[in-house]
Amino acid sequence: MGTKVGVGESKQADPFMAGVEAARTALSNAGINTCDFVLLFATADYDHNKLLKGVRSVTGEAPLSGCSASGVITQTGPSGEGYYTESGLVKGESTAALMVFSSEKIRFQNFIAHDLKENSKKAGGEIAKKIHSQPDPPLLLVMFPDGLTVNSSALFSGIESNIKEPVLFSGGCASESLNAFKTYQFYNDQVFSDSVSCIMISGEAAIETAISHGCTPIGTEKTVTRAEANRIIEINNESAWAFFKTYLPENATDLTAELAGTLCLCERLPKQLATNYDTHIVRAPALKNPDGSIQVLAEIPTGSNIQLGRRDPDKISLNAKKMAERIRSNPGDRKPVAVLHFDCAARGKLCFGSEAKEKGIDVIQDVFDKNIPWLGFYAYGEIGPIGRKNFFHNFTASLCVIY
Amino acid sequence: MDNKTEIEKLRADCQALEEQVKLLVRTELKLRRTQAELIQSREIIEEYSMTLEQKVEERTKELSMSEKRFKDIVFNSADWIWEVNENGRFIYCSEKVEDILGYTNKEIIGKPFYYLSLPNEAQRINQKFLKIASKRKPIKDMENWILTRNGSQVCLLTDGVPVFDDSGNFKGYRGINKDITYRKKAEELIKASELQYRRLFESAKDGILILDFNTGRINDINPSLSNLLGITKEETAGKKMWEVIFFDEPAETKSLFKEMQKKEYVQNENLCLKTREEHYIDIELVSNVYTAGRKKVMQCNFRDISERKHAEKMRFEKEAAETANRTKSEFLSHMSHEIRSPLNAIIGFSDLLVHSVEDEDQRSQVNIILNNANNLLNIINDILDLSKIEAGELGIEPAPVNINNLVKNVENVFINKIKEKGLSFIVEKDSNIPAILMLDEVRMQQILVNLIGNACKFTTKGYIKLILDKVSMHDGNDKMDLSVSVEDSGIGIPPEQQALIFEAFRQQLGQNTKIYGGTGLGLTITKKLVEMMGGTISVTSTPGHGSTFTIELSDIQVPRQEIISADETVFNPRSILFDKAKILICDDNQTARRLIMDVLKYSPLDFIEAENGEKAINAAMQYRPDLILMDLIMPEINGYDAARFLREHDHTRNIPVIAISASYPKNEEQKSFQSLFNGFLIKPVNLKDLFEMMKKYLSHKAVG
Repeated sequence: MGTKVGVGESKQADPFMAGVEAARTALSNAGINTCDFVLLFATADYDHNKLLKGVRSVTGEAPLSGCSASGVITQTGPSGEGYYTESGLVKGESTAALMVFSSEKIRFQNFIAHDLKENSKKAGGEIAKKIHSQPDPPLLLVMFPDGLTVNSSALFSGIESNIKEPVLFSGGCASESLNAFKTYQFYNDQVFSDSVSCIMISGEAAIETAISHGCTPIGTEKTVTRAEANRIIEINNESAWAFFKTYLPENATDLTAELAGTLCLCERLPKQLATNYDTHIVRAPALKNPDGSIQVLAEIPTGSNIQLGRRDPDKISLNAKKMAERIRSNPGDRKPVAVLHFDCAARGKLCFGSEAKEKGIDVIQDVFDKNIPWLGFYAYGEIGPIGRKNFFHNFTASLCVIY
Repeated sequence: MDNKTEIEKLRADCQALEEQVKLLVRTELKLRRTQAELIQSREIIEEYSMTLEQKVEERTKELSMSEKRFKDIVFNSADWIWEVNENGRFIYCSEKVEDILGYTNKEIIGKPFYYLSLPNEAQRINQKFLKIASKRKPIKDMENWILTRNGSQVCLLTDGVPVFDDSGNFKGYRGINKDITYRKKAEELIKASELQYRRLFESAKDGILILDFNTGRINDINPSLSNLLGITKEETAGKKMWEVIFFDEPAETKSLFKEMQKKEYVQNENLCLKTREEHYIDIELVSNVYTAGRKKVMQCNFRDISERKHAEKMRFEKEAAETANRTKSEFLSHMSHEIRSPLNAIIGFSDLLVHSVEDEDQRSQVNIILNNANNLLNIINDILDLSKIEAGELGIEPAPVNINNLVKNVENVFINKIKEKGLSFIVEKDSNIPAILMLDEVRMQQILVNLIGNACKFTTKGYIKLILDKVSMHDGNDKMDLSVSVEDSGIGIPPEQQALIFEAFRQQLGQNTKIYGGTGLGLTITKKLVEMMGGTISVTSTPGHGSTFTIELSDIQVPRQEIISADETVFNPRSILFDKAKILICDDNQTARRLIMDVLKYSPLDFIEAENGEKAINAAMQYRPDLILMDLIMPEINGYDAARFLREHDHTRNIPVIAISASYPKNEEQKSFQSLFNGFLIKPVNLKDLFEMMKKYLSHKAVG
């Protein structure tokens, strides 16, 4: 029978009906009546419990993983993302998209781990245990951690320090409507926050991952003079927020998604890693804490040298296209059965405006066959290895192509 | 510049550069927002444009649908859709016009509104249109009769609305013409029908009452019922049936109405209607229920059956009387028969005794017995006749009667008696009376015998006169009226007795039966027989001077073909000689054929004999005779059928055929007889009649 994959999308306002429609479409597109696994992304405005009921009223008890998103990406392009104007945030339309899998060769095991804010490392340890409990060796671990609470460095450490054989990570942080309010993670018929929803892919499959960004370091190099875990307290002996504020409009009082999406922190990569990637790895300031510290989704320890970076739309498009071409050329004549795509929420309309599809998505999708099932979302942080080392990223596009 | 200064300068440059970076970053942020605003505006415009395009598309689709709908309606409509300009000339006309008027829409376009109106209507229609158009009013339900191409007329119902352009200028009218010819004709028929039924209602001899089925309230009353009741229609307005109609039983009307409501059809012949003048009239009431419009109504027909009831009563009484009379007659008939049997023995043996008794006294006594027995027999015969008449057993059967023979026969009955009494018997007969008339000979002779017998009885001197007078001929001389009178110079009848003498068992007062004898039934029987013949009998009399009884018979049929009856005059068969001719004699009796050939032997005639109809047909076809003498009653093919065959074939159609028979043709045979035969002779054939008949068809000469 091989592997059957299908994608369905719905823009219905009613969550249950949206779930039903997306699931029916996906099964229909896959040419199957039942499936082994469901991957679901949906804008944050839905009542996700009802959405899951709608989906599972069609797919039954098939394992389900996924998360809330700023917008979803399918082979027809992006949808559901919002954007900022002078008058504030413009909400995107409600959208749910899901991918169904039915395969005798590829297996999908899903897990969930909680309390990221409190202890992301512990959550990582939980995940490692679950990986160990599986009979098959993992090919890839796809994760959807809460984009507002995760310490990716701790999470990764929690996993990697507890598994015997290295495993590559991919995925994206659960996001929402650019409000920095709350994100959701899906596990079967349950909806969580502050958790990480995971999928362990195993079996007979080849998986290629790739990642790219388009940021350019600007200005002089700065030093993180004080940091705790993934919280930067001071830069150049100045409170982190005060430091950032000097680059922001005078009336800026908080680190909005718009502002956070404009500036980033660039950490220089070691030369051996930079060869196939870029000189810097990009981190985004996620939240401004009340004490003036800045929350970052990965740890930047005290003493780290950083540079401010700015998004360069042309570079983003160019690097995204190169990444797609590179990953497409790797497997030779093999035909992908599915593509998972995790793109930064700041790379959609926030970056490209009305050209987000053409410049942000089409440049990648045009490299592939139009009929390949494609599912992704706009994330609050992307996960993908550089070389064989797992990294957390911001302002990137992370692809995971399953053959 | 020392190193320190250099470093300070570089720091200052970096600081300046960093400030520029900050400025650039802020500017970029602002630009991004501006860009986002532009995007939003563009998206709004695009959305608006898309909405507009969508609306245009939807509107275009709607317009297209609307146009299609209009076209479908126009195409499928049974009506003719039109548009005229401000001058009333057609600028649009749907194709349907061709189905209605026979003209194509192209022929109509450009023509004025009143085009095809009836010639005498065109001006009026135009004026009407102009008047409506001047006020810009809609055209509503305008009906016009229009001439179609084939010359027939159709009625159009026109509706239209004024048309204005965007500036409000009047541009004409647009509307629909509906062919309502069928409806109009139906309406006319309904009107005519309503009028017809209204007339029937108004003129009906029966009284008619129309009621509301539910309430019994009077909707209408026709003049007949109004007259019958003696109330006016206005007086019935708003009233209920039982407030106007009363029967002999006070509570009857309301219960009758309830019965009519329940059964819907009621027929009652036993109602007695009370009029305003408190007269009671027997009526028959028939009620029916039907629906008029949405209302159920009840129709009550009142028929005055007073006369019928009276007639029924009379008929009942008459039938009862007739039954009683018939019972009486049957009794008499029976009794007479019982009496005749012993009387036959009395007369028979008395007759024998008269010839065997030698003693004069005894012979005289036997003669008395014989005479009285004969008188008794006559009485009984009369009683039998009367009883037969009254029992309806005696019928009149007209047949050709030789009037001369009839008179002669009657005269012979009385000739001796008249001579004995020294009276004269005079016969006065109108010479124009045909020799043969269709009469019942037996009954006619009985009438004359009765009347002449009476005259003879009551006349001691003077005369008795029989007068036969033709009153008139009519129906192309096929019928005549005949008057027969018997006049005497006898004792006469007093005026007060003249009306009674025709009643049974009533004789003239003071009539001495010992002197005159009789049963008193003669005239009664005579009168009844005359009436059975469709005639009348009357009497005029002057006591001491005599009486005249006159019979008037009408519509006596006169046979068309000449039927010559026996004449007593001696005829010499040598006195007429026929020229050479072929005669076919057809008779199953050889002696009869022989007799005819013997009497005609003095003429050079060739005879062909045939003993039945079939042989007669063959001989006629073969020899083509100049004359055929045909017996009627023969075995196998009889005379009628043979004659019919001969008449149907060209070769024999014109051969004269004279029928010869021992019996006269019956009434029902008369018509066919006349078309088949040229003449008729009764057997035994009178020679003179035979020769006279043959003279008509054969050339001949008289000798001596």
